[in-house]
Amino acid sequence: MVSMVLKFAGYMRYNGLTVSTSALHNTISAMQWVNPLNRTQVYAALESCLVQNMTERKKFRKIFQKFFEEQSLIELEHEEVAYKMQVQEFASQLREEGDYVGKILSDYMDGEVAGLLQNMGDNQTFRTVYDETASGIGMNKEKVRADIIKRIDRLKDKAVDFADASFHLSREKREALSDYLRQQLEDARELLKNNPRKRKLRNHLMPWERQKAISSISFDKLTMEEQEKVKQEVERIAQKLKDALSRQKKKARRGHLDVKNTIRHSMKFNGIPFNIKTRRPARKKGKIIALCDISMSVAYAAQFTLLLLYRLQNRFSKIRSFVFIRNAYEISDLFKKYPLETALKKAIKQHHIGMGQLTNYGATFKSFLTNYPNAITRDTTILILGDALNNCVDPQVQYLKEMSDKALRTIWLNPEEEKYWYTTSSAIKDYEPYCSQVVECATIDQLSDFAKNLVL
Amino acid sequence: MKKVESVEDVTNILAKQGYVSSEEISTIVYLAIKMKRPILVEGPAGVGKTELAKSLSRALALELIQLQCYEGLDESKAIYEWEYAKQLLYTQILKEKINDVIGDSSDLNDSIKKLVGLEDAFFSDHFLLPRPLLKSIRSEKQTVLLIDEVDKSDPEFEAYLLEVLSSNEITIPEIGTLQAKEIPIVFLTSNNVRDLSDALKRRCLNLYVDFPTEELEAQIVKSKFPHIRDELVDKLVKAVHAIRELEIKKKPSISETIDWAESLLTLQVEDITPKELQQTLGILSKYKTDMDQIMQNSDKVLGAA
Repeated sequence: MVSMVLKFAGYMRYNGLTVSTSALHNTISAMQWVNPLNRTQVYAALESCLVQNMTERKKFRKIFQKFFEEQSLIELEHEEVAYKMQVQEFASQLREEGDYVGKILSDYMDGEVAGLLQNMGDNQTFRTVYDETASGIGMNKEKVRADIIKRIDRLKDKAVDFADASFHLSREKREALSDYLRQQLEDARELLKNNPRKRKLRNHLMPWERQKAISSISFDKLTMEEQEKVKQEVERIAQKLKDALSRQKKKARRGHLDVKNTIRHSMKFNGIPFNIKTRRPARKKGKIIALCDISMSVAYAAQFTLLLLYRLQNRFSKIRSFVFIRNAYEISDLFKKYPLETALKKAIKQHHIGMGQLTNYGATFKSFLTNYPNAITRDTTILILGDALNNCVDPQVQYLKEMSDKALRTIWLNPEEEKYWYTTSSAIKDYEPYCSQVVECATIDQLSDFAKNLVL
Repeated sequence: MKKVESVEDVTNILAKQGYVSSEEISTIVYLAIKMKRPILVEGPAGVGKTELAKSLSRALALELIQLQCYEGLDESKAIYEWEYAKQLLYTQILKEKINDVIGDSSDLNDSIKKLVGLEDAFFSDHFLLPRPLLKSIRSEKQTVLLIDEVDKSDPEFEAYLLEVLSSNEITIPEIGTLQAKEIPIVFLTSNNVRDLSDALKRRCLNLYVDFPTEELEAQIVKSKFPHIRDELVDKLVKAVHAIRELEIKKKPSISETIDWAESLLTLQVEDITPKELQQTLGILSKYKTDMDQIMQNSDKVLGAA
């Protein structure tokens, strides 16, 4: 039984779920009390101990079925071992090439990165330890680096061929192996170029790696499954911010002594101020006007920002949401009628919004001022979510200026990376002077930072 | 406490209290009793999370101690508090009698020693006001401790709970650590208003109570109203399930299904038609927009039934 639980936990971890040692310990003791031949009891025992996040229940069910009902255990064990052996085999093939480049790279594939790291940086002194078998001693570091990079370029194709030829692995595993080897080589190349690039394309990642990296993936590169995870992450951020707000509130409350009230309450204790009374400071709540570009280029980011705003709506006295492509339409009513998820889908699907047309920011701001002239007041924060790709039409900055003048502040959230902001198609440079802040908001981390600044 | 020796025992004793439990729920409750671990029950509102703890306490003939959580709940409301007024009263008495106490002291040191002895008396059991958690830990007999809607409390409060849940003890700085005489059966319920900390979850067995299947829900309704006609139960349960499929803000819970059944019985309804649905809609739904949606889809709702 213990070994079965351990194998199952291993399978869960392989599929990206976290299993702590204490949970494992609980599971083993729980399994002593249930009938091992009763599927429901075994399932309930495993789920109650191993699934701590309820959003993972669906995944757990699938894993359970696969593990116990499709008898993939034996297959998995074999495949896992075979997969690891193939990675080792690739490394040993590199070692057999006999030269120092092969040795450095094979060590690297085996997890020993010291050789590679010694060739990083601008220091011209070559200090490698590969003297006997590799005979690379005394060589110029630049030369070694160039040689390794050249070899890596050649090996990348070889890695694909190698994975394709691993016929004893399933197709899925072969693809994973190919991705893994190529990515390892690519990473080595990046390290040597001393210019580690921010990882964005995730298709090479193993399940357990994906979970860690999700907060730094750009919204437009998320898979459907990852979008769900990001939504959960957004909920978490909202909760964290609410907790922080409540702490802040408490702290503020503690700081304001209500003298009158304290003296009044001290009467029943013979004038001794036993209960110190404090005054609750008035909460300053602002209004939010969110203007979201939902053209294809930015719709993916709008959903997360709106989700976060609505989870934090208690913080504001009112949130009004508008979507636009070339005209602004209010969609606050949809949020009143439907759960947030559905409301967002419906908002994006609305035909009269002008899906398929070219985005025009100037026309949007003009239409907003015409149709909702009283929407902006002195305590309003305007949030504009858009990439400012104005399709080279007149940005008509005067309308944004008019809006900004009326409002408390105007924050522009740009889901485009900052390096693209000042290209010819982007109008952000024209709008920037009229915004209090222009923020890059392409990943969950950036969204979280922005929300912190907004509410705290 | 009645003896529970198998998962089936749990199902049976709960059924006697009118709680129709699935095998999954019974298994986890059984594990909690045997492993002496708390259960964290999560799920939508109205699916019977609180009722589970109440039914179990009745079934096992154990005292139920309930702690209702809310924002701002602190240890003085949940664990213990010193009886300040009583302490103050005693201070006043002491003030008058202070000369009698230290009158025969030879020097200042001797007086202080005598006063320190009195100070200890002020922070003793005599002045301790136990709140639900401490009550449950100090109880001579085993109890069922229900910490309801724990997600509504502040994250700091979870830290207080950790000690109670993991080692069944409570530390009072002035007195020391109090160990549970009988380990209580602990239920924590949550509606997912916020994420609970991993530390808390790790100490619990996790039970997710979802909306029941049609069969189980029909069984629940029948257990509450044994004389209800099978056809009506069938139609009612199917309609509720169809409503849950709609995109509405608040899906009807089990308690609402039971209330609806009761109202239909009171009105002596033979068959559920759109008219009856309209009349009793307020019981199933609390939002105007949801009601409108249900009525717009009445064909689908009653068609499914």
